[in-house]
Amino acid sequence: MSLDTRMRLAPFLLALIGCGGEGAAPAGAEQGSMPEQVTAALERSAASNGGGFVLRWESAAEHPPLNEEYSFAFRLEDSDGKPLAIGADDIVVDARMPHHGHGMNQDPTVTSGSPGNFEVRGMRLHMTGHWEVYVDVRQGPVTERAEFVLGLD
Amino acid sequence: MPHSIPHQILISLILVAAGIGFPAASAQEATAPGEDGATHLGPHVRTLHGLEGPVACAYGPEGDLFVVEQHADRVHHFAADGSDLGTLGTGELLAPAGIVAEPGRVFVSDSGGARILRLDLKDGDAALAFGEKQLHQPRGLALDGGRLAVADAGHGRIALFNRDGAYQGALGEEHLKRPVDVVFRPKGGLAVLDGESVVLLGADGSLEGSFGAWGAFPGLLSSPSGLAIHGERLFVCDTENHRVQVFDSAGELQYAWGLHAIRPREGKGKLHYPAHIALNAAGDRAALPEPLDGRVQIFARAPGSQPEVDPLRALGGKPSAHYGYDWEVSGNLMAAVEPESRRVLVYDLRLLPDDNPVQITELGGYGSALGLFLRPTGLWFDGPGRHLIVCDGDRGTLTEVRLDLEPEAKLAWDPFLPRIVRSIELGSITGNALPRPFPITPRDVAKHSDGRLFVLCERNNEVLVLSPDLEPLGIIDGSSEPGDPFLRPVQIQFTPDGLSLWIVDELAGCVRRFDTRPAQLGDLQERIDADGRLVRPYGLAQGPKDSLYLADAATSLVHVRESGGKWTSFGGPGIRHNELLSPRAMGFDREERLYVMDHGNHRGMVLNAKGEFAFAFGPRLYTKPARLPHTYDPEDYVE
Repeated sequence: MSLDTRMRLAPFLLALIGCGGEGAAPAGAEQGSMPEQVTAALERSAASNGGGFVLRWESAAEHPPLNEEYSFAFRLEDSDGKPLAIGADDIVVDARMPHHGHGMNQDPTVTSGSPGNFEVRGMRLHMTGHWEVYVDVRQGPVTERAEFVLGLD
Repeated sequence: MPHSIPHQILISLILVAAGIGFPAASAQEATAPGEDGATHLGPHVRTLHGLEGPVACAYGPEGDLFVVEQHADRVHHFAADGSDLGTLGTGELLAPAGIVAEPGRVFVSDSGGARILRLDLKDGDAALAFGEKQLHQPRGLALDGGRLAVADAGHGRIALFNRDGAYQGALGEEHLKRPVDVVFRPKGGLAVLDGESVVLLGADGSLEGSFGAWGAFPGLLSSPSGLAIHGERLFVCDTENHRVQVFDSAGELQYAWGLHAIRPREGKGKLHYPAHIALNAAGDRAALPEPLDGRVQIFARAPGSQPEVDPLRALGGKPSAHYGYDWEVSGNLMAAVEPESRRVLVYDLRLLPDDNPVQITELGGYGSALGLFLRPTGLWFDGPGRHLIVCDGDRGTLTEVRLDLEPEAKLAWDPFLPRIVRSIELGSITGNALPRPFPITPRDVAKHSDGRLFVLCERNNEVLVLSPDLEPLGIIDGSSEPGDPFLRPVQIQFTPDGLSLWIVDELAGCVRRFDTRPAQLGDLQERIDADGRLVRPYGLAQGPKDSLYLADAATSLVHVRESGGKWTSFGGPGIRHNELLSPRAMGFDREERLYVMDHGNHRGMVLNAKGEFAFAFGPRLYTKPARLPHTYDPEDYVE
């Protein structure tokens, strides 16, 4: 099964395993068509660089297709595991290649689902190599970064 | 010859390979005003030397030229043939920044005094002063009929006065951030230079358009600082691209002239951080002041067809590395701001004094996303040098960066060292809790050992103090001394015990020390003017045995207050091993070596505590006269 196919099937599979749930999006958040609850599939996690929150993401996000648009789901929690009360407008997802000093050629968009759950669409890593994916989260006057790396062959 | 390569490009390639570049037409080709066929400006005709920090020019009605000398706080007047006609405004100006002329008088923006002075040519004295209640950090001026327009950088608007100084209102507040120059457009309205854009305003202040963006390619701008107009053509002094770009009224690039001076003091048409542009009434002379070289270059019209924008300029790539005003030394690390690229460069100092500092990584680049900068300014190494705080004066943010560095790691370039931790929007913090009159524009920062942040804000001329939780705790603005607020604070630094904060005030010509203890926060403890020695103090370093080092950007001297209170000095303007040019930030390493950012010479100087030369690093052409003094020939360093 190709990664693309897996990505498209992910919402359906998540619904089948009972990950659906209640929850309103935070005020001002853009409501997307992502699954309501995807925590079970977000098997990867990292603390933000300042320790202010935890980023959880699906491992498929580390295996994107070369130069094709892809999306992935992620969750943001505080240190107690509670969802961050922020909207999609407070999040910027980006990717850069530190060796090359450049990023992507397009701006992805973030949509929100249930509290703390988000999806980024429009990611496109246009060349092979070492990429870093940044999730920048604004809370009040502070914008903090969480990140993960991936190698694209 | 391959047909796929245009002939012009091949010629250009050959010129580049030969190191010739793209010279403008020679001076011999310059034409007299009005001569047929002269279509464009570009050829160099004359240079006025020996000026003290020239930052702005204006042509008089007779083709005479007025030059604002910011370091000398005066206006210098030259005849059309370049002969010296004397000076104006001495003793009345403080950091003048803009000028416009009309028969018999000039108007000068007195940036330090936050006002406009009208100087009469008859006696050179100020005949009128106005705008004190309306202006904050005024810059460029324009005159049209009875109206005087002032680029009010502090308020972020254009202020209008009549010739007698009566205030007529302001325009463009909703469209401008920090305007630095302004011209009246012939068909009405204004063109304003604001950041990396030219903003076109209607006569009522409405937005009619804008053009320009940051970059080095044709049509892009980098820290432009001067604007002139002739007919429908707008001439932009593109400072950090070392050129002038000429646009039509719609913002389409018509042509450009000027090449970056590579060799120290190189001129005769090569440009080096030009700070302004003035055109004469006929539009056949242009004057460009270059403050670092203390000169004004005059250009004329050339005959023939208007030059096309050189396509190979796009191959120029990354701007050359120049040190800005600020750097920070901590242990074996040094971080320096590179203004042109908006980057912060990080160096390892372990090889000193036998070899150059080794650049091990960099961070930033132009942009408004987290981790990028619009205008990086001050730096602070937190603790042992593993965290770096970077001020962004245009975004109003502090960015905290973690350096994942192993202390004994092998020296190597590592693009993964910097990890962006977070940025702090300072305006959001003060907000309603501590409203400030102007936007927060951080110039320098220092983090106390108790976690408090001290942020020097250049637009408000004050130091903002924040708790470790980013709650505003107070302001230090110098007002603890009645009638003596800061004029232009530029650097802050704690005393080694953390009980006091030094604040360098460039325009007040002094350094003040304030209490940092919470109960006495902001109480003045000491004021130093070095017995009147300080003209434009900038850098400050605390040396061995309680000594204090102060770098003066105007005199190029470093003054030292020894532990007994005695003052000594070293340096002086020049490029040799014992000379400096417009020195800025300084710092000591653990070996008690003094690092002086020799800004005007684009190099770092490493000296011992006595000021004796130990090492120089940076571009080879600038460090050679210091590293290899026996090769020094003064003839190599004249225009």
